[in-house]
Amino acid sequence: MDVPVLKSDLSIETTAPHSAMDDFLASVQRRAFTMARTATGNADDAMDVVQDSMLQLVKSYADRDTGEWRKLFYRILNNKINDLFRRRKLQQRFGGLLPGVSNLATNEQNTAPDPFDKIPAADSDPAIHLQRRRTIENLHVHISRLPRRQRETFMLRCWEGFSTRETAQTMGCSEGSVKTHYSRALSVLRTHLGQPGEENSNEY
Amino acid sequence: MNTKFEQSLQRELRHSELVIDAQHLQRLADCRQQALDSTALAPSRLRRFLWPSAGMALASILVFVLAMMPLSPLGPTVTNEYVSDNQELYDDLEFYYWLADNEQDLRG
Repeated sequence: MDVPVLKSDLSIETTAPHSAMDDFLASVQRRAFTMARTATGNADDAMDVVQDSMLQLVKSYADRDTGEWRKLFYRILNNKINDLFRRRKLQQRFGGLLPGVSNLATNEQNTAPDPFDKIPAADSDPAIHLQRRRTIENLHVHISRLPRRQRETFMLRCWEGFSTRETAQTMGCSEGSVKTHYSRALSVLRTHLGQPGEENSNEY
Repeated sequence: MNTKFEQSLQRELRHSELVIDAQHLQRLADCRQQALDSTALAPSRLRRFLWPSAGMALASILVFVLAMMPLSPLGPTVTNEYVSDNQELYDDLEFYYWLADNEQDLRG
């Protein structure tokens, strides 16, 4: 399977001592941010979610076995995303009472540049590049529209590559539940996307 | 991850992780650094909490010990010395009467 290998971001910026936790956070930060951005639809919110997740992992679970960090981190990340959705719901319900709050969540979506403009053009053919960009855009849009548990299951199982058991442990539910949510999520995505990378006839 | 569909979804999703721009990458690195720095703060926070606690515990122990101690160890000792002096006086009372008489006689 041709999956792009992520380079560690350690070289970019830190002067911190090399540590297992630093390595771990560097290895998950891109994926965590992209997952959070897909779920929340907002880069700033996604950044806050990732920052809170990192802080909580380091403060509460740094002494745990390193093999547990990945599952713990994604569990925290999912919880933080859900907290954000709850806050947004409150803002939608009561935001009208507070000036400047009601449109907070949607401002960035309307004004920010499209991040998918920067997808590296591996294909020399602009048409192929454009098609790939559309596919990824559609994929992220449809993932964000999945019900919460289906989205979480899909992200952990397909995107992160957890096994059914690991996904169940991370989400705190049964393996049967994971299979159900995952199968439904795949079914919805297959309906809307067809086969990614191919011409799509099922889009809106 | 059984089907080609799942594999191609995973491939596309992981490819999309490369889209993050330098500004966001820098912010992610800052977040990571802040998280790592938060552990360095932990011992001083612990110390800040420990000092008052230890002080209170020590003070409580001190109060308890003082409350449980007899009033003063000097009291009985002084009393004993006083009693023993008096006992000596009473034992030699006749001698002291004789001494007083003799002194009066001598002074005349």
